Amino acid sequence: MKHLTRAGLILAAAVVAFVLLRAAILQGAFTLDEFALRPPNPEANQREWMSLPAVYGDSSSCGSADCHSDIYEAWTRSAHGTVACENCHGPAEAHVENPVAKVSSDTSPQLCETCHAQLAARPSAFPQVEPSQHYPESPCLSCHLPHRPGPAATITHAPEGDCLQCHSATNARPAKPVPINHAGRTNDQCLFCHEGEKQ
Amino acid sequence: MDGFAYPNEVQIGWGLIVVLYPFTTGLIAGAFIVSALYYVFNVESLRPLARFSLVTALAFVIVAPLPLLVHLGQPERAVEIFVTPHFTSAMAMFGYIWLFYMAILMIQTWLVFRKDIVTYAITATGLKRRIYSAMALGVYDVSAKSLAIDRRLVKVLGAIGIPSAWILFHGYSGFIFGSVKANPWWSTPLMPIIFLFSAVVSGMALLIILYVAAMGVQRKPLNHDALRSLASWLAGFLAVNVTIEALEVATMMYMQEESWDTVRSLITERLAVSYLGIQLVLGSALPLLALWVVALVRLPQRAATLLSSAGALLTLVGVFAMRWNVVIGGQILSKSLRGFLSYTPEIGGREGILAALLLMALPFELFALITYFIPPWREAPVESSGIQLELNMVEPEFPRPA
Amino acid sequence: MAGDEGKGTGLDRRSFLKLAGGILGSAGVYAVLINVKGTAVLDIASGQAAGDYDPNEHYWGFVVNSHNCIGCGKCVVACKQENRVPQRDDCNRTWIERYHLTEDGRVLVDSPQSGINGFVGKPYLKPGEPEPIIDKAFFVPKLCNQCDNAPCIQVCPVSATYKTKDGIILVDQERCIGCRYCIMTCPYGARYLVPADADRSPTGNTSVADKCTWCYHRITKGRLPACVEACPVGARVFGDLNDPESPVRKIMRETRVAVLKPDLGTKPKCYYVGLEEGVR
Repeated sequence: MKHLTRAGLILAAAVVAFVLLRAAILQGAFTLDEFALRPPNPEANQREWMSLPAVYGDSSSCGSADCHSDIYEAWTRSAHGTVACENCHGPAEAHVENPVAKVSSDTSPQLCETCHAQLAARPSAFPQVEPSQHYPESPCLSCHLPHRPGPAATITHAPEGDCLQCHSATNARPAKPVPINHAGRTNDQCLFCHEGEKQ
Repeated sequence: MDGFAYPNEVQIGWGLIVVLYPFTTGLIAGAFIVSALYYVFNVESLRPLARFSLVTALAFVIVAPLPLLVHLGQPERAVEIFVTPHFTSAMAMFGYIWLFYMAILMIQTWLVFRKDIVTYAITATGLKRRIYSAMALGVYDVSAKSLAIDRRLVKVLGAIGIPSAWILFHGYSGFIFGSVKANPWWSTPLMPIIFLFSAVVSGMALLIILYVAAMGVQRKPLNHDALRSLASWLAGFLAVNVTIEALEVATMMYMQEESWDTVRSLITERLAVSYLGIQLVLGSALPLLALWVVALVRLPQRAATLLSSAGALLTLVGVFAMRWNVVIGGQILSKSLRGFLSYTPEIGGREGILAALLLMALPFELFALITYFIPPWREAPVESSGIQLELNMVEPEFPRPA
Repeated sequence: MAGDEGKGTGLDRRSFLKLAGGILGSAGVYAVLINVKGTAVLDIASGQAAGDYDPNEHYWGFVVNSHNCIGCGKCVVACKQENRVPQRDDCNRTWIERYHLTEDGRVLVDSPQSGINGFVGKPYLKPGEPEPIIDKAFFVPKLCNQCDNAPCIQVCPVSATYKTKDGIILVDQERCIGCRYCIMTCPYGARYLVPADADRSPTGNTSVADKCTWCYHRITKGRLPACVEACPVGARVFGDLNDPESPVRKIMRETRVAVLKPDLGTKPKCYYVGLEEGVR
């Protein structure tokens, strides 16, 4: 009996010690974070999650008045108007907060293909081409402007002399100007895209 | 990946080390049941193995959490399981269940071996004497009355221990899997029962092998009646175990729910070797045959020992395969029901084969340590200090409380 | 039992035991009360407002329009960058699945690198499998459904994962012990473990569970999740379920929506337009 009493006391002491220790931990007596010896605090954790920094900006902040409003205007009305700027230019929150931080520009055909390569699973109404059969030797951007994409407009008059004389990018002629990357192109090159129906 | 699986499923999170955990807790529960069969239900034929099984259970329960600790991503935070368990989680129950169950086993072992401890405390010298005195808590009363009270308490603890082993300690680990509705291979109300019965089976098998090995190493004679009795009990429980496991799969096969195609493919293709080959044939059918022969046919002693040991060994292999098939099988089956993943344990590393072997060796080492101090097979009678204590190979006759 | 008189202490054994018992007893009662109080189920954060944002005012929902998805993968790219998700293929907060339904009744599903680089060409075929004739094909974006009856919260052994008042399920990655039970129990495969050797991690912790939070740090500041911003075709829509005029409520009103695995009773808050039978 005596042995049972002693054993019982030891057991009771162990249980009491455990309960007291746990009570102390729950009251925040310890702050050993490595062992997570503190009660759960979802509110604090929730605030931690809320305070994480954003990495992606919003396209609308790209187009604000003192930034890229001109490109934004054109882009927003174009077929790419729903394609977020950062899809091609990478995460830009840092740049929005401090414009000195650079923004990248992915101009590779691979990027265009991730959206526009022909796939059975893509809705048929969505513009897509078979990359191996759609002018594979030319970069996409030689005909398609990223902020105003779509096939090249077909010409509405017979070519007269050097196209770029009237349709210069910088010239103040009344004719429709061409994008800057068209500089130096010959008539053959112009007609290649702008004559008749193109795929 | 074969077919399609959700991209995150490539991570097989519960690997070999996690397979080890229900295996070891099963051994504990099984060994304990054998001791309870004698101490609670007075199955006389198992009396020679009663103390042996208690010590086995104790050795395994002390190191039971180690596989889990090794597996956790943040093991230093494991204290949370004891301090702030989340009571809707079956896994959270582990902390308190393990403590409770270990306490029961420690107290039971102490009570059962108290007479030996006191004897050794009186007759030993030096450091050993101090150790034994501490184990005796400084009390040397081994009168018939105190021993009778001990015996009664052992019975009570055994009675508490049975449901706590079954429902709590091993049932909960079956429930951990059985309650996962997301996984068709795991989700079944039968899972805790399946785990329980395979636990009992594995514990009994372990005891047979450990007993034969321990007596063989010490060149002591085996108690063949006890061995045959245990083999018969094992045969019975194994039959029930196989029936329930078969019931689970048979029901799935009959109901043919959405997941059946992929489960059938899992069983017949991915787990063909480990399930059909090892768990069913090698680990269930063959030992069933061997053990039922031992149970029903009066074999010569050598043959009976051989057949019992072989049956027990195959049973253990079968139970391990069952744990593997449940844990790993459930994860290599994609929850999209459209494909399978693969898992090969690494050799080295925290959760590799070497680590698993080390973890499996620990309880045996602990068993050796415990039996060094309190051997369940007793030594020759000791005479000194005028104290004559009769020590036999068999449990002494305690005066049973009227 | 014969009482042992204490030697000159004036306190006999009986009274000493009574006193000790009393002290221990009251300490025990106090400790039990403290423990019971500390064990309150903490599944739902009480939702105190932080800054101007009051979680009690919103209940967030998501709509995925599978008809629109073109499988470009920009959502996956944006998510990985925004949330510092490890760049490995087996760590995904969101991904895109592609389904090909063949004329001979097969359903071929693939998600190469979770769709992060878009998709190319043919569906996945086993070696020797005949070229199928595709009857129908489409994309299905996936992400955490922020279930109202989430199994992941139920099984977390240490209350590391919880639901906020505005309906988002978060993981306290300082508490998570990395047991992976929540990952096992998610029917949608939405969770993963941040590897110990991850190149980056959302909160700096590794070997903890992580999952999509619907960009909680953005939506609580009136912005949209990164994947919604990135989607060029309106396949992902985010809004307040409490507001009848929010984009998600409008879609839910004007067209038929469904959730993934409704029979599991998880009550997802991510609704799908154009969910095909067989998409799980």
